[in-house]
Amino acid sequence: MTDLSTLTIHQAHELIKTKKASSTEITKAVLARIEKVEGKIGAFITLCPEIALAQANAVDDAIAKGAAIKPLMGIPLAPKDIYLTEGIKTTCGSHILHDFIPPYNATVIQKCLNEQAVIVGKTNLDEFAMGSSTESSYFKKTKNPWRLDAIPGGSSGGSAAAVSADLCLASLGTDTGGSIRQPASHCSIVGIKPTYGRVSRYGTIAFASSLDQMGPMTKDVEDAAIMLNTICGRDGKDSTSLNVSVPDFTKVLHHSVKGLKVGLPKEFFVDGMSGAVCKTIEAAVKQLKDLGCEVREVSLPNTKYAVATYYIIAPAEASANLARYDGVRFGLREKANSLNEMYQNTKGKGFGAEVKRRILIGTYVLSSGYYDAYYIKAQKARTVIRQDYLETFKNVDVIVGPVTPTTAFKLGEKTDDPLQMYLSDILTIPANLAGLPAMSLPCGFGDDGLPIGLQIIGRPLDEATMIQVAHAYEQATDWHRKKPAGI
Amino acid sequence: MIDKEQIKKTANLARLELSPEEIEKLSVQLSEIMAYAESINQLDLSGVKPTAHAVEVENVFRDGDEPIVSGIIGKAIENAPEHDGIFFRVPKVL
Repeated sequence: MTDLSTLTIHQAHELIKTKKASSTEITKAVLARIEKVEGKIGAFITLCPEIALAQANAVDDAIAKGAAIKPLMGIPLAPKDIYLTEGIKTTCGSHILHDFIPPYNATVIQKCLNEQAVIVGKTNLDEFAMGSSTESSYFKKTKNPWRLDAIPGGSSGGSAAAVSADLCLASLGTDTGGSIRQPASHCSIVGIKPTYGRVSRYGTIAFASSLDQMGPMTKDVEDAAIMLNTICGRDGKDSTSLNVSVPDFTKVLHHSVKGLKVGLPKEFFVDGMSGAVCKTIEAAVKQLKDLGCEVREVSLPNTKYAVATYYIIAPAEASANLARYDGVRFGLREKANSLNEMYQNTKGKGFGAEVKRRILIGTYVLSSGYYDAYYIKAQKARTVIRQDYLETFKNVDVIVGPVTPTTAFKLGEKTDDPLQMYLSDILTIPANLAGLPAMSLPCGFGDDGLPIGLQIIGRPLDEATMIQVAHAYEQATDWHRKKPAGI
Repeated sequence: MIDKEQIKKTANLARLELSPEEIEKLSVQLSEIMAYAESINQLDLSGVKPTAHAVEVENVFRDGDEPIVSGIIGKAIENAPEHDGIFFRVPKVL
Protein backbone atom coordinates (compact mmCIF):
# COMPACT_ATOMS: atom_id res chain seq x y z
CA MET A 1 0.00 0.00 0.00
CA THR A 2 1.64 3.27 -1.12
CA ASP A 3 2.07 5.87 1.56
CA LEU A 4 -0.22 8.49 0.05
CA SER A 5 2.02 11.30 1.35
CA THR A 6 4.67 10.30 -1.21
CA LEU A 7 2.37 11.10 -4.16
CA THR A 8 2.85 13.92 -6.61
CA ILE A 9 -0.05 16.24 -7.49
CA HIS A 10 -0.69 14.47 -10.79
CA GLN A 11 -0.58 11.01 -9.21
CA ALA A 12 -2.98 12.07 -6.44
CA HIS A 13 -5.26 13.69 -8.99
CA GLU A 14 -5.42 10.42 -10.93
CA LEU A 15 -6.31 8.45 -7.80
CA ILE A 16 -8.97 10.99 -6.80
CA LYS A 17 -10.46 11.03 -10.32
CA THR A 18 -10.63 7.22 -10.45
CA LYS A 19 -11.96 7.08 -6.88
CA LYS A 20 -8.99 4.98 -5.70
CA ALA A 21 -8.22 7.51 -2.96
CA SER A 22 -10.09 10.38 -1.36
CA SER A 23 -8.78 13.79 -0.45
CA THR A 24 -9.42 12.93 3.20
CA GLU A 25 -7.25 9.79 2.93
CA ILE A 26 -4.45 11.70 1.22
CA THR A 27 -4.65 14.59 3.68
CA LYS A 28 -4.66 12.18 6.65
CA ALA A 29 -1.57 10.44 5.24
CA VAL A 30 0.24 13.79 4.94
CA LEU A 31 -0.79 14.81 8.46
CA ALA A 32 0.41 11.45 9.81
CA ARG A 33 3.75 11.91 8.09
CA ILE A 34 4.02 15.41 9.54
CA GLU A 35 3.40 13.99 12.99
CA LYS A 36 6.12 11.39 12.47
CA VAL A 37 8.78 13.55 10.83
CA GLU A 38 8.24 17.28 11.43
CA GLY A 39 9.97 17.14 14.83
CA LYS A 40 13.24 16.29 13.07
CA ILE A 41 12.91 18.85 10.26
CA GLY A 42 11.10 21.92 11.61
CA ALA A 43 9.63 22.85 8.22
CA PHE A 44 6.45 24.46 9.55
CA ILE A 45 5.69 27.58 11.55
CA THR A 46 1.96 26.82 11.71
CA LEU A 47 0.05 23.58 11.24
CA CYS A 48 -3.71 23.64 10.67
CA PRO A 49 -4.88 20.01 10.63
CA GLU A 50 -8.52 20.78 11.51
CA ILE A 51 -8.85 23.29 8.68
CA ALA A 52 -7.14 20.84 6.31
CA LEU A 53 -9.47 17.97 7.20
CA ALA A 54 -12.53 20.20 6.89
CA GLN A 55 -11.35 21.29 3.44
CA ALA A 56 -10.64 17.68 2.43
CA ASN A 57 -14.07 16.61 3.65
CA ALA A 58 -15.71 19.36 1.61
CA VAL A 59 -13.80 18.16 -1.46
CA ASP A 60 -14.93 14.54 -1.01
CA ASP A 61 -18.54 15.71 -0.53
CA ALA A 62 -18.40 17.82 -3.68
CA ILE A 63 -16.93 14.94 -5.69
CA ALA A 64 -19.62 12.56 -4.38
CA LYS A 65 -22.19 15.06 -5.66
CA GLY A 66 -20.56 14.96 -9.11
CA ALA A 67 -18.40 18.10 -9.09
CA ALA A 68 -15.77 18.39 -11.85
CA ILE A 69 -12.34 17.55 -10.46
CA LYS A 70 -9.87 20.37 -11.15
CA PRO A 71 -6.13 19.55 -11.00
CA LEU A 72 -5.49 20.92 -7.48
CA MET A 73 -8.78 19.72 -5.99
CA GLY A 74 -8.20 17.96 -2.70
CA ILE A 75 -4.40 18.29 -2.90
CA PRO A 76 -2.63 19.09 0.42
CA LEU A 77 -0.38 22.13 -0.01
CA ALA A 78 1.87 23.97 2.44
CA PRO A 79 2.46 27.59 1.33
CA LYS A 80 5.40 29.64 2.57
CA ASP A 81 4.41 31.77 5.55
CA ILE A 82 4.72 34.91 3.43
CA TYR A 83 1.36 34.36 1.72
CA LEU A 84 -1.59 35.91 3.51
CA THR A 85 -4.06 33.16 4.38
CA GLU A 86 -7.36 34.40 5.74
CA GLY A 87 -7.91 33.22 9.29
CA ILE A 88 -4.57 31.38 9.43
CA LYS A 89 -1.70 33.06 11.27
CA THR A 90 0.86 34.57 8.89
CA THR A 91 4.18 35.64 10.39
CA CYS A 92 6.67 36.07 7.55
CA GLY A 93 9.14 34.40 9.94
CA SER A 94 9.19 37.54 12.08
CA HIS A 95 8.55 38.44 15.72
CA ILE A 96 6.92 41.63 14.48
CA LEU A 97 4.05 39.57 12.96
CA HIS A 98 4.08 36.71 15.45
CA ASP A 99 0.33 36.83 16.05
CA PHE A 100 -0.94 38.38 12.84
CA ILE A 101 -4.12 36.82 11.42
CA PRO A 102 -4.79 38.11 7.90
CA PRO A 103 -8.31 39.28 7.03
CA TYR A 104 -7.95 38.19 3.41
CA ASN A 105 -6.21 35.68 1.14
CA ALA A 106 -3.35 36.42 -1.22
CA THR A 107 -4.54 36.15 -4.82
CA VAL A 108 -2.33 33.10 -5.34
CA ILE A 109 -3.84 31.39 -2.30
CA GLN A 110 -7.36 32.33 -3.39
CA LYS A 111 -6.70 30.79 -6.81
CA CYS A 112 -5.62 27.52 -5.15
CA LEU A 113 -8.63 27.62 -2.83
CA ASN A 114 -10.93 28.28 -5.79
CA GLU A 115 -9.76 24.87 -7.05
CA GLN A 116 -10.39 23.49 -3.55
CA ALA A 117 -6.79 22.74 -2.70
CA VAL A 118 -6.17 21.81 0.94
CA ILE A 119 -3.85 23.82 3.21
CA VAL A 120 -2.06 21.77 5.89
CA GLY A 121 0.11 24.56 7.28
CA LYS A 122 2.50 27.47 6.63
CA THR A 123 6.16 26.82 6.10
CA ASN A 124 9.25 28.38 7.68
CA LEU A 125 11.31 31.05 5.95
CA ASP A 126 14.08 33.54 6.53
CA GLU A 127 12.58 36.59 8.23
CA PHE A 128 10.81 38.72 5.59
CA ALA A 129 12.33 36.43 2.96
CA MET A 130 15.77 37.94 3.57
CA GLY A 131 18.32 35.17 3.56
CA SER A 132 19.66 32.06 1.89
CA SER A 133 19.45 29.52 4.71
CA THR A 134 16.16 29.98 6.63
CA GLU A 135 18.36 30.54 9.71
CA SER A 136 17.11 34.08 10.25
CA SER A 137 13.55 32.94 11.01
CA TYR A 138 12.45 34.20 14.43
CA PHE A 139 10.77 30.88 15.16
CA LYS A 140 13.12 28.04 14.34
CA LYS A 141 15.81 26.75 12.03
CA THR A 142 14.71 24.23 9.43
CA LYS A 143 16.93 21.23 8.72
CA ASN A 144 17.76 19.80 5.33
CA PRO A 145 16.00 16.39 5.12
CA TRP A 146 19.01 14.98 3.21
CA ARG A 147 21.42 15.82 6.06
CA LEU A 148 20.00 17.16 9.28
CA ASP A 149 23.10 19.26 10.06
CA ALA A 150 22.79 21.18 6.79
CA ILE A 151 20.65 24.17 5.83
CA PRO A 152 17.69 23.56 3.55
CA GLY A 153 18.53 26.77 1.70
CA GLY A 154 16.48 29.94 1.86
CA SER A 155 14.47 31.92 2.05
CA SER A 156 11.86 29.25 1.09
CA GLY A 157 13.71 26.60 3.13
CA GLY A 158 10.65 25.35 5.01
CA SER A 159 8.80 24.83 1.73
CA ALA A 160 11.71 22.96 0.15
CA ALA A 161 12.18 20.74 3.19
CA ALA A 162 8.44 20.02 3.44
CA VAL A 163 8.13 18.98 -0.23
CA SER A 164 11.35 16.95 -0.10
CA ALA A 165 10.25 15.09 3.06
CA ASP A 166 6.68 14.47 1.81
CA LEU A 167 5.17 16.76 4.46
CA CYS A 168 2.88 18.15 1.74
CA LEU A 169 2.31 17.27 -1.90
CA ALA A 170 3.57 20.67 -3.03
CA SER A 171 4.30 24.16 -1.82
CA LEU A 172 4.38 27.75 -2.99
CA GLY A 173 7.51 29.80 -2.41
CA THR A 174 8.72 33.26 -3.38
CA ASP A 175 11.90 34.24 -5.20
CA THR A 176 13.51 37.69 -5.00
CA GLY A 177 17.19 36.77 -5.45
CA GLY A 178 16.94 32.97 -5.69
CA SER A 179 14.71 32.02 -2.78
CA ILE A 180 12.76 29.35 -4.68
CA ARG A 181 15.56 27.99 -6.85
CA GLN A 182 18.34 27.75 -4.26
CA PRO A 183 16.38 25.78 -1.62
CA ALA A 184 14.91 23.63 -4.41
CA SER A 185 18.49 22.85 -5.47
CA HIS A 186 19.61 22.13 -1.90
CA CYS A 187 16.64 19.81 -1.22
CA SER A 188 16.38 18.02 -4.57
CA ILE A 189 13.00 19.32 -5.66
CA VAL A 190 11.67 21.44 -8.53
CA GLY A 191 11.19 25.18 -8.09
CA ILE A 192 10.09 27.74 -10.68
CA LYS A 193 10.41 31.52 -10.56
CA PRO A 194 8.13 32.76 -13.36
CA THR A 195 8.73 35.88 -15.49
CA TYR A 196 8.24 38.98 -13.36
CA GLY A 197 4.58 39.89 -13.64
CA ARG A 198 3.25 36.42 -14.52
CA VAL A 199 1.90 35.87 -11.02
CA SER A 200 0.07 38.37 -8.85
CA ARG A 201 1.95 39.65 -5.83
CA TYR A 202 -1.25 40.82 -4.14
CA GLY A 203 -1.50 39.56 -0.59
CA THR A 204 2.09 38.31 -0.55
CA ILE A 205 4.19 40.16 1.99
CA ALA A 206 6.48 42.40 -0.04
CA PHE A 207 10.26 42.36 0.21
CA ALA A 208 11.51 44.01 -3.01
CA SER A 209 8.63 44.90 -5.29
CA SER A 210 10.50 44.96 -8.60
CA LEU A 211 12.12 41.57 -7.91
CA ASP A 212 9.61 39.44 -5.94
CA GLN A 213 7.88 36.63 -7.79
CA MET A 214 5.66 33.84 -6.55
CA GLY A 215 6.17 30.27 -7.77
CA PRO A 216 5.59 26.54 -7.27
CA MET A 217 7.90 24.18 -5.37
CA THR A 218 7.08 20.60 -6.26
CA LYS A 219 8.25 16.99 -6.45
CA ASP A 220 8.49 16.98 -10.25
CA VAL A 221 8.26 19.17 -13.34
CA GLU A 222 4.71 18.12 -14.26
CA ASP A 223 3.45 19.25 -10.84
CA ALA A 224 5.18 22.62 -11.26
CA ALA A 225 3.53 23.10 -14.66
CA ILE A 226 0.13 22.22 -13.16
CA MET A 227 0.56 24.75 -10.34
CA LEU A 228 1.78 27.44 -12.73
CA ASN A 229 -1.41 27.01 -14.75
CA THR A 230 -3.42 27.78 -11.61
CA ILE A 231 -1.44 30.71 -10.24
CA CYS A 232 -0.50 32.72 -13.34
CA GLY A 233 -2.64 35.52 -14.72
CA ARG A 234 -3.34 39.22 -14.63
CA ASP A 235 -4.77 40.46 -11.36
CA GLY A 236 -6.51 43.81 -11.16
CA LYS A 237 -5.21 44.11 -7.61
CA ASP A 238 -1.56 43.92 -8.71
CA SER A 239 -0.90 46.53 -11.37
CA THR A 240 2.54 45.05 -12.05
CA SER A 241 0.95 41.78 -13.13
CA LEU A 242 1.12 41.46 -16.89
CA ASN A 243 -1.85 41.54 -19.18
CA VAL A 244 -0.75 38.51 -21.20
CA SER A 245 -2.49 35.22 -21.83
CA VAL A 246 -1.40 32.18 -19.85
CA PRO A 247 -0.60 29.14 -22.00
CA ASP A 248 -1.27 25.63 -20.71
CA PHE A 249 2.21 24.82 -19.44
CA THR A 250 1.45 21.09 -19.33
CA LYS A 251 1.17 21.04 -23.13
CA VAL A 252 4.99 20.99 -23.56
CA LEU A 253 5.52 17.95 -21.35
CA HIS A 254 6.90 14.91 -23.18
CA HIS A 255 7.96 17.04 -26.17
CA SER A 256 11.29 16.33 -27.81
CA VAL A 257 14.02 18.93 -27.28
CA LYS A 258 15.93 17.97 -30.42
CA GLY A 259 17.43 21.03 -32.03
CA LEU A 260 16.78 23.40 -29.12
CA LYS A 261 19.75 25.68 -28.53
CA VAL A 262 21.13 25.72 -25.01
CA GLY A 263 23.58 28.36 -23.80
CA LEU A 264 26.13 27.59 -21.09
CA PRO A 265 27.56 30.84 -19.69
CA LYS A 266 31.26 30.66 -18.92
CA GLU A 267 30.80 33.25 -16.15
CA PHE A 268 28.56 30.83 -14.26
CA PHE A 269 31.52 28.63 -13.35
CA VAL A 270 32.72 30.94 -10.61
CA ASP A 271 35.79 30.86 -8.36
CA GLY A 272 35.02 28.84 -5.31
CA MET A 273 32.61 26.55 -7.13
CA SER A 274 32.90 23.02 -5.78
CA GLY A 275 34.29 20.27 -7.99
CA ALA A 276 31.17 18.20 -7.33
CA VAL A 277 28.87 20.97 -8.62
CA CYS A 278 31.03 21.47 -11.74
CA LYS A 279 31.11 17.76 -12.53
CA THR A 280 27.41 17.28 -11.91
CA ILE A 281 26.37 20.21 -14.09
CA GLU A 282 28.71 19.03 -16.86
CA ALA A 283 27.06 15.61 -16.71
CA ALA A 284 23.61 17.23 -16.88
CA VAL A 285 24.68 19.27 -19.92
CA LYS A 286 25.93 16.09 -21.59
CA GLN A 287 22.53 14.54 -20.94
CA LEU A 288 20.90 17.50 -22.72
CA LYS A 289 23.24 16.94 -25.68
CA ASP A 290 22.24 13.25 -25.71
CA LEU A 291 18.62 14.39 -25.89
CA GLY A 292 19.42 16.34 -29.05
CA CYS A 293 20.02 19.83 -27.68
CA GLU A 294 22.67 21.96 -29.31
CA VAL A 295 24.82 23.26 -26.47
CA ARG A 296 27.08 26.25 -26.96
CA GLU A 297 29.18 28.41 -24.69
CA VAL A 298 27.82 31.91 -24.21
CA SER A 299 29.05 34.94 -22.33
CA LEU A 300 27.19 37.11 -19.83
CA PRO A 301 30.05 39.47 -18.99
CA ASN A 302 28.21 41.60 -16.45
CA THR A 303 27.36 38.64 -14.19
CA LYS A 304 30.10 39.71 -11.79
CA TYR A 305 28.23 42.92 -10.95
CA ALA A 306 24.94 41.16 -10.17
CA VAL A 307 25.42 40.67 -6.44
CA ALA A 308 26.53 44.25 -5.84
CA THR A 309 23.63 45.54 -7.95
CA TYR A 310 21.12 43.37 -6.13
CA TYR A 311 22.37 44.25 -2.66
CA ILE A 312 21.78 47.92 -3.44
CA ILE A 313 18.37 47.61 -5.15
CA ALA A 314 16.74 44.92 -2.98
CA PRO A 315 17.50 46.50 0.41
CA ALA A 316 16.42 49.91 -0.97
CA GLU A 317 13.03 48.50 -1.94
CA ALA A 318 12.85 46.53 1.30
CA SER A 319 13.44 49.63 3.39
CA ALA A 320 10.33 51.12 1.79
CA ASN A 321 8.24 47.95 2.05
CA LEU A 322 9.06 47.31 5.70
CA ALA A 323 8.28 50.85 6.81
CA ARG A 324 4.69 49.75 7.41
CA TYR A 325 5.64 47.55 10.38
CA ASP A 326 5.38 50.35 12.88
CA GLY A 327 3.03 49.01 15.54
CA VAL A 328 0.10 51.19 14.47
CA ARG A 329 -2.34 48.97 12.59
CA PHE A 330 -1.14 45.40 13.12
CA GLY A 331 1.71 43.34 14.51
CA LEU A 332 3.94 43.94 17.48
CA ARG A 333 3.66 47.22 19.39
CA GLU A 334 6.23 48.05 22.05
CA LYS A 335 5.41 50.37 24.93
CA ALA A 336 6.45 53.97 24.42
CA ASN A 337 5.74 57.50 25.61
CA SER A 338 5.59 59.04 22.18
CA LEU A 339 4.69 57.99 18.67
CA ASN A 340 8.30 58.21 17.48
CA GLU A 341 9.49 56.14 20.41
CA MET A 342 6.80 53.56 19.61
CA TYR A 343 8.15 53.24 16.04
CA GLN A 344 11.76 52.97 17.23
CA ASN A 345 11.10 50.44 19.98
CA THR A 346 8.74 48.31 17.89
CA LYS A 347 11.18 48.03 15.02
CA GLY A 348 14.13 47.62 17.37
CA LYS A 349 12.49 44.72 19.20
CA GLY A 350 10.48 43.32 16.31
CA PHE A 351 13.07 42.91 13.56
CA GLY A 352 15.97 40.45 13.53
CA ALA A 353 19.59 41.23 12.67
CA GLU A 354 19.44 40.46 8.94
CA VAL A 355 16.32 42.55 8.44
CA LYS A 356 17.86 45.47 10.34
CA ARG A 357 21.01 45.18 8.25
CA ARG A 358 19.06 45.35 5.00
CA ILE A 359 16.79 48.17 6.14
CA LEU A 360 19.91 50.17 7.02
CA ILE A 361 21.63 49.44 3.71
CA GLY A 362 18.46 50.40 1.86
CA THR A 363 17.89 53.59 3.84
CA TYR A 364 21.55 54.54 3.36
CA VAL A 365 21.61 54.08 -0.42
CA LEU A 366 18.39 56.05 -0.82
CA SER A 367 19.41 58.90 1.47
CA SER A 368 20.35 62.26 0.06
CA GLY A 369 23.92 62.41 -1.08
CA TYR A 370 24.04 58.69 -1.86
CA TYR A 371 21.00 58.14 -4.09
CA ASP A 372 22.83 58.84 -7.37
CA ALA A 373 26.06 57.18 -6.30
CA TYR A 374 24.41 53.89 -5.43
CA TYR A 375 20.75 53.45 -6.26
CA ILE A 376 20.59 55.09 -9.68
CA LYS A 377 23.89 53.49 -10.65
CA ALA A 378 22.60 50.09 -9.58
CA GLN A 379 19.50 50.57 -11.71
CA LYS A 380 21.74 51.32 -14.67
CA ALA A 381 23.84 48.24 -13.91
CA ARG A 382 20.55 46.32 -13.92
CA THR A 383 19.86 47.52 -17.47
CA VAL A 384 23.27 46.32 -18.60
CA ILE A 385 22.86 42.92 -16.91
CA ARG A 386 19.42 42.45 -18.51
CA GLN A 387 20.81 43.39 -21.92
CA ASP A 388 23.44 40.61 -21.66
CA TYR A 389 20.58 38.11 -21.41
CA LEU A 390 18.38 39.61 -24.12
CA GLU A 391 21.40 39.64 -26.49
CA THR A 392 22.20 36.01 -25.67
CA PHE A 393 18.60 34.92 -26.20
CA LYS A 394 18.89 36.03 -29.84
CA ASN A 395 21.08 32.96 -30.32
CA VAL A 396 19.87 30.39 -27.77
CA ASP A 397 16.48 29.20 -26.54
CA VAL A 398 17.42 28.60 -22.90
CA ILE A 399 20.45 29.19 -20.68
CA VAL A 400 21.55 26.49 -18.24
CA GLY A 401 24.02 26.25 -15.41
CA PRO A 402 24.39 25.64 -11.71
CA VAL A 403 22.09 27.18 -9.09
CA THR A 404 24.66 27.62 -6.33
CA PRO A 405 28.46 27.34 -6.19
CA THR A 406 28.35 24.59 -3.54
CA THR A 407 25.97 22.13 -1.92
CA ALA A 408 24.13 23.17 1.25
CA PHE A 409 26.48 24.45 3.93
CA LYS A 410 26.18 23.46 7.58
CA LEU A 411 23.74 25.18 9.90
CA GLY A 412 25.56 28.05 11.61
CA GLU A 413 28.47 28.03 9.16
CA LYS A 414 27.84 31.42 7.52
CA THR A 415 25.73 33.33 10.03
CA ASP A 416 28.65 35.52 11.16
CA ASP A 417 29.67 36.59 7.69
CA PRO A 418 26.76 38.26 5.87
CA LEU A 419 28.82 39.19 2.82
CA GLN A 420 29.88 35.54 2.32
CA MET A 421 26.22 34.54 2.42
CA TYR A 422 25.32 37.24 -0.13
CA LEU A 423 28.06 36.13 -2.54
CA SER A 424 26.55 32.64 -2.79
CA ASP A 425 23.53 34.16 -4.56
CA ILE A 426 25.60 35.11 -7.62
CA LEU A 427 23.98 32.56 -9.93
CA THR A 428 20.35 33.14 -9.05
CA ILE A 429 20.24 36.94 -8.72
CA PRO A 430 20.63 37.80 -12.43
CA ALA A 431 17.28 36.23 -13.39
CA ASN A 432 15.51 38.42 -10.82
CA LEU A 433 17.29 41.57 -11.97
CA ALA A 434 16.41 40.78 -15.58
CA GLY A 435 12.85 39.64 -14.79
CA LEU A 436 13.40 36.31 -16.58
CA PRO A 437 11.73 32.98 -15.84
CA ALA A 438 14.14 30.56 -14.17
CA MET A 439 13.92 27.22 -12.45
CA SER A 440 15.88 24.55 -10.63
CA LEU A 441 15.44 20.80 -10.90
CA PRO A 442 17.41 17.91 -9.35
CA CYS A 443 20.45 16.73 -11.31
CA GLY A 444 22.60 14.81 -8.88
CA PHE A 445 24.36 14.74 -5.53
CA GLY A 446 27.69 15.80 -4.11
CA ASP A 447 30.08 13.43 -2.34
CA ASP A 448 28.58 14.76 0.88
CA GLY A 449 25.21 13.23 -0.08
CA LEU A 450 23.69 16.68 -0.58
CA PRO A 451 21.60 17.51 -3.66
CA ILE A 452 22.67 19.59 -6.64
CA GLY A 453 20.19 21.39 -8.90
CA LEU A 454 20.34 22.36 -12.57
CA GLN A 455 19.21 25.90 -13.33
CA ILE A 456 17.37 26.68 -16.56
CA ILE A 457 16.66 30.30 -17.52
CA GLY A 458 14.19 31.19 -20.24
CA ARG A 459 13.28 34.12 -22.45
CA PRO A 460 10.81 36.60 -20.97
CA LEU A 461 7.37 34.91 -20.86
CA ASP A 462 8.81 31.69 -22.28
CA GLU A 463 8.31 29.41 -19.26
CA ALA A 464 7.06 26.83 -21.76
CA THR A 465 10.44 26.17 -23.44
CA MET A 466 12.15 26.17 -20.05
CA ILE A 467 9.66 23.57 -18.78
CA GLN A 468 9.99 21.56 -21.97
CA VAL A 469 13.77 21.23 -21.50
CA ALA A 470 13.39 20.53 -17.77
CA HIS A 471 10.85 17.78 -18.34
CA ALA A 472 12.89 16.10 -21.04
CA TYR A 473 15.92 16.06 -18.74
CA GLU A 474 13.88 14.82 -15.79
CA GLN A 475 12.27 11.97 -17.72
CA ALA A 476 15.68 10.82 -18.98
CA THR A 477 17.02 10.57 -15.42
CA ASP A 478 15.63 9.43 -12.08
CA TRP A 479 16.89 12.07 -9.65
CA HIS A 480 13.28 13.11 -9.05
CA ARG A 481 12.43 9.67 -7.67
CA LYS A 482 15.08 9.75 -4.96
CA LYS A 483 13.93 10.42 -1.39
CA PRO A 484 16.00 11.39 1.67
CA ALA A 485 16.82 8.34 3.77
CA GLY A 486 16.21 7.82 7.44
CA ILE A 487 13.31 10.21 8.02
CA MET B 1 33.97 53.59 5.96
CA ILE B 2 30.52 53.88 7.51
CA ASP B 3 31.11 55.07 11.05
CA LYS B 4 28.85 54.79 14.07
CA GLU B 5 27.50 58.33 13.58
CA GLN B 6 26.41 57.41 10.06
CA ILE B 7 24.72 54.25 11.36
CA LYS B 8 22.89 56.25 14.04
CA LYS B 9 21.73 58.84 11.49
CA THR B 10 20.57 56.17 9.05
CA ALA B 11 18.82 54.21 11.79
CA ASN B 12 17.03 57.37 12.82
CA LEU B 13 15.80 57.89 9.23
CA ALA B 14 14.41 54.35 9.37
CA ARG B 15 12.92 54.93 12.84
CA LEU B 16 14.91 51.93 14.00
CA GLU B 17 16.25 51.68 17.56
CA LEU B 18 19.68 50.03 17.80
CA SER B 19 21.70 49.02 20.84
CA PRO B 20 25.35 50.22 21.14
CA GLU B 21 26.54 46.67 20.32
CA GLU B 22 24.34 46.59 17.22
CA ILE B 23 25.65 49.99 16.10
CA GLU B 24 29.23 48.76 16.53
CA LYS B 25 28.63 45.54 14.58
CA LEU B 26 26.58 47.18 11.85
CA SER B 27 29.22 49.84 11.27
CA VAL B 28 31.74 47.10 10.47
CA GLN B 29 29.32 45.01 8.41
CA LEU B 30 27.86 47.88 6.41
CA SER B 31 31.32 49.22 5.64
CA GLU B 32 32.28 45.82 4.23
CA ILE B 33 29.06 45.43 2.26
CA MET B 34 29.12 48.94 0.81
CA ALA B 35 32.80 48.57 -0.11
CA TYR B 36 31.79 45.49 -2.10
CA ALA B 37 28.82 47.33 -3.60
CA GLU B 38 31.24 49.98 -4.91
CA SER B 39 32.40 47.40 -7.47
CA ILE B 40 29.62 48.57 -9.77
CA ASN B 41 31.69 51.71 -10.27
CA GLN B 42 33.93 49.61 -12.52
CA LEU B 43 31.12 49.53 -15.05
CA ASP B 44 30.94 52.10 -17.80
CA LEU B 45 27.38 53.25 -17.38
CA SER B 46 27.51 56.39 -19.47
CA GLY B 47 24.42 56.69 -21.63
CA VAL B 48 22.67 53.80 -19.89
CA LYS B 49 19.09 54.32 -18.75
CA PRO B 50 18.20 53.08 -15.27
CA THR B 51 15.82 50.09 -15.09
CA ALA B 52 13.31 50.38 -12.31
CA HIS B 53 11.30 47.47 -13.61
CA ALA B 54 12.63 44.52 -15.57
CA VAL B 55 9.48 44.35 -17.62
CA GLU B 56 7.95 47.40 -19.30
CA VAL B 57 5.25 48.71 -17.00
CA GLU B 58 2.77 51.32 -18.05
CA ASN B 59 0.44 53.35 -15.94
CA VAL B 60 -2.69 51.34 -15.32
CA PHE B 61 -6.15 52.63 -14.69
CA ARG B 62 -8.78 50.73 -12.82
CA ASP B 63 -11.38 49.03 -15.02
CA GLY B 64 -14.64 50.90 -14.54
CA ASP B 65 -13.72 52.34 -11.14
CA GLU B 66 -16.96 51.16 -9.56
CA PRO B 67 -16.86 51.13 -5.77
CA ILE B 68 -17.00 47.60 -4.36
CA VAL B 69 -17.46 46.36 -0.82
CA SER B 70 -14.12 45.13 0.49
CA GLY B 71 -15.80 43.12 3.19
CA ILE B 72 -12.89 43.43 5.57
CA ILE B 73 -13.40 46.71 7.43
CA GLY B 74 -14.49 45.04 10.64
CA LYS B 75 -11.79 42.39 10.36
CA ALA B 76 -9.02 44.83 9.40
CA ILE B 77 -9.11 46.62 12.73
CA GLU B 78 -8.92 43.37 14.74
CA ASN B 79 -5.18 43.06 14.35
CA ALA B 80 -4.53 46.50 15.81
CA PRO B 81 -2.70 46.52 19.15
CA GLU B 82 -5.07 49.25 20.33
CA HIS B 83 -8.25 50.46 18.71
CA ASP B 84 -11.64 51.81 19.61
CA GLY B 85 -13.61 49.89 17.04
CA ILE B 86 -13.22 52.48 14.31
CA PHE B 87 -9.86 54.19 14.81
CA PHE B 88 -6.38 52.91 15.57
CA ARG B 89 -5.11 54.33 18.87
CA VAL B 90 -1.50 55.42 19.24
CA PRO B 91 0.54 57.45 21.78
CA LYS B 92 0.12 61.21 21.55
CA VAL B 93 1.58 62.69 18.41
CA LEU B 94 1.97 66.21 19.69
